[in-house]
Amino acid sequence: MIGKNPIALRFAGIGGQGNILMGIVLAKTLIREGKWVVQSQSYTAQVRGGPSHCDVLYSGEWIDYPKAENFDLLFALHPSAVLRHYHLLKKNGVFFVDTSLFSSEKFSCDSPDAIPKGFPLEICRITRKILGYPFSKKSIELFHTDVVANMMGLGALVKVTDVVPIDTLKETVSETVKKKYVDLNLKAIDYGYGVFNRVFRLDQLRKRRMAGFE
Amino acid sequence: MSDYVLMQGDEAAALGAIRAGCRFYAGYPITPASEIAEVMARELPKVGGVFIQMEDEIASATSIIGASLAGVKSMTATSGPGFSLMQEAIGYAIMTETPTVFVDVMRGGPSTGMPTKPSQGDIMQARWGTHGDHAIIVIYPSTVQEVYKYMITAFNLAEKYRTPVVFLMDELLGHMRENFKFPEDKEIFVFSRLKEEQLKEEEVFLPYETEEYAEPTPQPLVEMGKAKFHVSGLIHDESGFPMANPEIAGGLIRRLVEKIRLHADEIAMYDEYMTEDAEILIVAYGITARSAMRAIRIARNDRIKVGLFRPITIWPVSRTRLKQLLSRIDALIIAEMNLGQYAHEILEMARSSTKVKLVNKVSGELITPQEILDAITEVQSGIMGYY
Repeated sequence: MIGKNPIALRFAGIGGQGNILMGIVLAKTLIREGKWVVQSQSYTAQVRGGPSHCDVLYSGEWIDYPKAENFDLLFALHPSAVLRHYHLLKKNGVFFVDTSLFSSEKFSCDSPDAIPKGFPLEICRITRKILGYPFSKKSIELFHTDVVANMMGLGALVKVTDVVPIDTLKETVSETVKKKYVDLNLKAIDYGYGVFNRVFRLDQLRKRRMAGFE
Repeated sequence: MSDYVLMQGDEAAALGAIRAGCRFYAGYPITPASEIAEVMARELPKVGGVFIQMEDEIASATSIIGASLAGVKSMTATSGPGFSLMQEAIGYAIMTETPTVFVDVMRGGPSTGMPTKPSQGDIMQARWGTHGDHAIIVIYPSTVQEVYKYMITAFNLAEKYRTPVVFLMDELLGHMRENFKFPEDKEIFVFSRLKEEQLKEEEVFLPYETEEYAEPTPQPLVEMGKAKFHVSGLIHDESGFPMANPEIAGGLIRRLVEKIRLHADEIAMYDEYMTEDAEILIVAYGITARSAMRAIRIARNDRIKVGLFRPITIWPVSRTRLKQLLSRIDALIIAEMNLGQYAHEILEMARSSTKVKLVNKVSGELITPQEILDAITEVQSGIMGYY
């Protein structure tokens, strides 16, 4: 009788980084794959540089409540977003971090030094599935602009979580983005797709609980 | 590959209006309703319509009345602060019986409030915002699919009853995107205005003539054309010219109210979820109803008999159906993102022995399923809060 709650992803960063576009592109792709999707966003009056985030919820059935309190996946595109949202990640959730503005490019729980200064070690008690990569830095290096850092991230996300096939994602991007930027975006996705080798499927994060343990 | 597309609530509102035959939009940008204006500015010229950005909300509201009288279906969209400014014009549209649609994508208030946060604070303003005795139709959808569907209904009702229709939306619903499927043509009914040829040449066109007094049904307005008639916000007779006769005055005001009150069951739309055997009834509308549905799903899993009544037209509400439901339940929960604006309307109909629990929130966040679940648990275990 009780249906599954939808799987929730949050893209957080600051205004101008394209985290809402990331959510929209992913939501469109999920609909192509026959899923029920809700995409919502939060932003402030400060258009550039203000805190903003974008939530994507998806499920095999119609989603009643359009918000989520906790997330299966968190994608932080900015250090401030890590601090603001890390506590909303579910236990053993997947945590992507753009480490461009960190002192070290690594962001992992392997040793205390790999967590940059100022960040709570508590993150490691929530999850060990932390995937850090300097998306913005790499984007500037390869494409001389950081605007496609979000698409690079989306490519990486699709590789690691396998939420949608990469080809469907590319099709959606070709239709959503302005024509002259399609090639650039597709290249960025391809690059992002090759960044990580690990696989953490989102629908396998949930553990079966005992009856009465609600 | 599915038939669904990703659609934003505001976008669906604009596209629904165009589908319903709206060809004139006047508005002033305001978060969270700006996207409606954006889509209208892009799409209206393609179908031969006109989009104007006016100097403020007062001018937007009055110009759509003018456009509607001139013969085209018209609408405007705004949020709480702009809606306050439009109230005088809404009164004028009621008095002159001009079909218009006012979209209010609600945000936190009062005043400038919280532009990007949801609230259901304009429930009473939608009903009683303008002065004088009047009746009004207020539609309140819960999903993006419904926004499109009921926007067409809003235009149909406005045309049929010759009245302004207020279309309320939540900030979250306006800004969020979800699955959407364009309905097929056969699923859609669009009310059309009188054609010029249908007017009898030898007869004077009386725009305010109604069919009969017992159940007054106003005649539809004429499409863009030569039918000229007088329009006034003053008390007027059936020709539209001012007339301060007490009989005419009393008759007109009563007719304006009765034309909606007597057709309330025809106009009223509602949705129910698991009410067949419900002992506890939740009344919620808009986005809050979706939280209630999640809460009911969880509560039903614990064998608590709880159901949802969701008014889609919050004014007028289906009193017939609601009274039936209220007569057989033990406890009533009213959940809304304000401090109890709609509760009065419902409590008026409830039996005095019914336990009542209000769930209210004005913090700019949605009422969560957990909060409704807490209320269900509270009334279920007999520990009740007092109203």
